[in-house]
Amino acid sequence: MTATTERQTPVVPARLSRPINWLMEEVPARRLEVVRVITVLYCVVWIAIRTDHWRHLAELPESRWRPVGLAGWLGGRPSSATVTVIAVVAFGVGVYALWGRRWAVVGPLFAVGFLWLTTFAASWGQILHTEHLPALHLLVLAAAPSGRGSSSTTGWPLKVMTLVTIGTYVVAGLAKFRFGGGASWLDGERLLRLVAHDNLRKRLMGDPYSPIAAHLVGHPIVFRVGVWLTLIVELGAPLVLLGGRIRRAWMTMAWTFHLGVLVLMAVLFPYPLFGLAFASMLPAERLPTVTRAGRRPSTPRSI
Amino acid sequence: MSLVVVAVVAVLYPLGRSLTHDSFPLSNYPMFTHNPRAVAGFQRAVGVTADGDEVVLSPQLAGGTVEVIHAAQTIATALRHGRGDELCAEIAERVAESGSPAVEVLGVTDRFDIIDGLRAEDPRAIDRDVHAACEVR
Repeated sequence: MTATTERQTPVVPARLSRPINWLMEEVPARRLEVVRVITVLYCVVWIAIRTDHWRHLAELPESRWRPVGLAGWLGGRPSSATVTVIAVVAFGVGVYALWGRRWAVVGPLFAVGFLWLTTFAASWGQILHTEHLPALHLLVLAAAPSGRGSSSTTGWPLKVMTLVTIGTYVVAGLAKFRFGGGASWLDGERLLRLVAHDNLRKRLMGDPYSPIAAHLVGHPIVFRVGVWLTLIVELGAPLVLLGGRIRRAWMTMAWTFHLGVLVLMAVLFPYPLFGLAFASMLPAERLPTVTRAGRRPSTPRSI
Repeated sequence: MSLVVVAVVAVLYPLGRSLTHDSFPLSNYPMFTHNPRAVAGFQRAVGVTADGDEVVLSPQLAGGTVEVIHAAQTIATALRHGRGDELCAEIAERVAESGSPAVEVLGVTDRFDIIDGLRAEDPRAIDRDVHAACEVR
């Protein structure tokens, strides 16, 4: 009897098994800690910047109130004083949350406070799309361990955050086909008119608009390329799961896409432009932080 | 693993919603999908000074918000639903408090060739419909 060794053919090709491996892989606990700190910091700063705007919204006439999501369930339009109190409390809780202490209580409290404020802001007849992703990311982080210590469970919140990011881009990409005229969106003509319309509207209403859009609308090729770049970024977001260079290439394209939107339409999406939308996909543990939990020891010590 | 499934399903859930049914924080992301015509109407509010000159009213004055898209949507919705006079009075109140030289507010639809309008030194409307007019007191 001769023993033979057979070379086993993998059931799933290596590249396609990467997403599954990625879901299961452990990540350094510090990565979650850093992502938590920078996401919370972004939202704290956002509250500080937007509170005045939210207070003004609360003073608009009752007829303008169009509650969505959480605001629709809670019913009743909050007063300016209520908005101010919740914003101040959420700001304070957020600052405290930066240190990661009592995260099991503070994390959800801050996430719900931020969700309430941003839902309120979206409840006046026009939903803007700059606050969806940070609100969702905060909710995921709220359910996560604070990230301290070494644990194989610290990876999942980052994976869920990444999947949420991917999902939002895919839904936005599919919307171009569902609501944007289907395949006719691909010729770039609609995008060109959209950019012209948006900039002219801003100009007529005394708002900052793109100074170069007027020149670029004379070059339809720019918009034909823009359409395909947009679709590659949005519908190609799941490529992130393949990891490595493909993930880095997608992140670069997504960031460039948001830069293009800023340059062409004067529309700022700060969360992705500051890189925070992609933080869960990056080795964020390499970033220096000043929090107690995130600080690296200055001198080597044995454990 | 169940949390992963819940998160993915939640984010994809708005795919079942129509264009007009956007929400927060789960959205169907309808931005950048509308189809403006080459010649399009712009619903807006303008101020008129005592000399008859027109002054631009900022999104804050016209719509009570710093967000231009929100302000434009507010004006368009009000004019479409016949609430132009109500909105005009609201704008006039803000204009009066702002110290603007405007003595009158108009709620109008100005039609522009969007490419020519954007490229023009001083964009001129092809035509105008006035939906509401009110005095600034």
